Amino acid sequence: MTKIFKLSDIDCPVCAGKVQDAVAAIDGVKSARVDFLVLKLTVEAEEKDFPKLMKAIKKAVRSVEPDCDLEEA
Amino acid sequence: MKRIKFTKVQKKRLLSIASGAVLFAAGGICRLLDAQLCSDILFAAAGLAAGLMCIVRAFRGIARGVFFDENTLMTIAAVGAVCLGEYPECAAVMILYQVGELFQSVAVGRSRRAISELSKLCPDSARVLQPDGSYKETAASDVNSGDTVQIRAGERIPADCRICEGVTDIDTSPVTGESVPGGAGVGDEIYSGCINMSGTVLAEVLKRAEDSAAGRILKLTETAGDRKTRSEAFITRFAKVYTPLVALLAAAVALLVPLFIQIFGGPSFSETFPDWSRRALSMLVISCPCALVISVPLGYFCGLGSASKKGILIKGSTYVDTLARVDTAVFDKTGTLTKGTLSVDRTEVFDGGDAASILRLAAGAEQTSSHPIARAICTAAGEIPPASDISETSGVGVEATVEGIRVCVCRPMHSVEGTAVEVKADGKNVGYVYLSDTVKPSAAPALRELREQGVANTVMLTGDNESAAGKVASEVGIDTVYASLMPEEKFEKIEELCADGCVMYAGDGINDSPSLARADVGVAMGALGSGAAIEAADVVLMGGDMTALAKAKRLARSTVRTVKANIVISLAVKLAVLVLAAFDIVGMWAAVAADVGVCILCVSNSVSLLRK
Repeated sequence: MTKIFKLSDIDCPVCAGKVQDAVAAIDGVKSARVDFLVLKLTVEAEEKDFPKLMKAIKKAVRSVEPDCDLEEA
Repeated sequence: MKRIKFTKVQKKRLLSIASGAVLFAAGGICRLLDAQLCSDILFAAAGLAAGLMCIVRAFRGIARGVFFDENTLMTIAAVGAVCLGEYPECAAVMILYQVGELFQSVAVGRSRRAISELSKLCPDSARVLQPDGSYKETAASDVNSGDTVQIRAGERIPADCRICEGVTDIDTSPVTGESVPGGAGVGDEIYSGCINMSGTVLAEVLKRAEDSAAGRILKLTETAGDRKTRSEAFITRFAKVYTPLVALLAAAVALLVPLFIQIFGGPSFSETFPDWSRRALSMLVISCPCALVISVPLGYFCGLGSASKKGILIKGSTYVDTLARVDTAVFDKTGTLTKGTLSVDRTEVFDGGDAASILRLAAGAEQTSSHPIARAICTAAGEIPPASDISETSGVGVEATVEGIRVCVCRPMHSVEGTAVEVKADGKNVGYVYLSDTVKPSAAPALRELREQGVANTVMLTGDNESAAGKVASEVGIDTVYASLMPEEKFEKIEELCADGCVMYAGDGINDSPSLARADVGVAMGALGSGAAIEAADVVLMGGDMTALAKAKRLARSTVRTVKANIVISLAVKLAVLVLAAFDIVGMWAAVAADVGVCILCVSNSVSLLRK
């Protein structure tokens, strides 16, 4: 299944790309896409994995953009 | 001027710029007072204050194993400047870098807001009629088809629905861009996103909010970013190699050049190294590709946003590119170039009768018929006399007694030019009424404008006969006409034309979805209600106004121009700074100023599209 998150404070497409790569690299995440212009992160993973993935996704986002907030849409 | 609301990060940047600037000024004063040590410390502190965010990110990046990151390289440049004793440069680099980032962030935020204004199209809630007769405030997304909603004056329509009680005026401008409000009563369909102007109505919901007009528009704009243009793909690939490349180049200048100088008998490495490493640091200052990279997608984004404000929905930036290239414009006749409704063109009268009285008699006979010809005649006649004994034979005509005369309005006995009906009074032919579809007043100016915008060939496709088609074509200024086409022949014609050029096809989307999909750019016009047309088309004009098409073309061209200009300008400046820094013609100051300057220039350039 896919989940969509709203991101905050990403001001450049390069940084958005880095966030995307960081989330996609997480074990258990099938695919990740950051739409820079509407600030949306779309993550695809097994439904049962999501609860434990949440923390890792948040950490991955923060490691690139320390000030970026993540909110489930 | 509108007050800018800063986000958390923007406030942080503002604070670091301000503290950096204060410390920098203090350092400057100390230098004037010849307090060298004091000023050096203040300058370094200014650099630290301004660059703290950057330095923190650099260390986080290194912890992740990412070294060629603009934060890291900026930090190296600043620290390097301190090591070489160039304290003011260190501060200036960090302060200006932050200014550039802040500016970019504000500009991106502004254009994001401009787009999100569209989302106000959908109201959050609706009042749904409950079985007990009361109304319950319900989230718009939870309203189901079949529910009855109450919509008061001044409210937005939450979902596509049909009025079942009440009369009102509907302002469709938020969805169609057409500003004349239209009346609506029982049985009329009203679309979500439009505003109920005057009366309270009860309406039965036909579609869920997300499948309604406004919901579809929103979905379109949200997925517009999915399709990337070649420019965008190029710039993304470029950004990936740019930063490491600059870093390697700088390293080569700092280490290899002094080494070679020593090898070839020049001064020793340790003598020339400080000079060359200073040049290398200036090069690092422009390692951040953001300014360059951002202006391209931002340009398309602003172009799409500007278009959607005009009721032009473009499904993605790739279609902006294609639309800009279009050189052949193909139009469907009925409903696209013409209004798609019949009106009385002229009358032909026999035996000394007069046109007005014939129209009047015909209107009397036709008054109960719902046939488009009958409606056109009644509209043209204005005043309609009472009639009795009305009988209508489908496909033939009507007969009725009007003011004591037996009137018959029917299909002409002889073949006539165009669409006409014969009017008989007491069995005698008294005249013909000719009808035609009216050309949209916006069609001719729109075609003229398209021609100015680089469309060399305009083509009209129609199922109508040669004479009706030719008349419309000459009226609006079409170059080539293909008449008497079957629907599948229209598709074949478009395929043929696509082989020769970049083809835009504009249709009303009702039964030409294959053509919309086949053309390089398919434009569905006035496709407010039709989901299939929105699916098949690449560009959707929410109103039926033809000039929107010309506007779309013009906007696409200026968007592409702006994006290209941005790429050229920023690449040229970056390259120039790299070379000039390597030859020590410009120092760190000039390098960072040029970098921030070109960022501001390109971003402003892109954002200015929003105002077009």
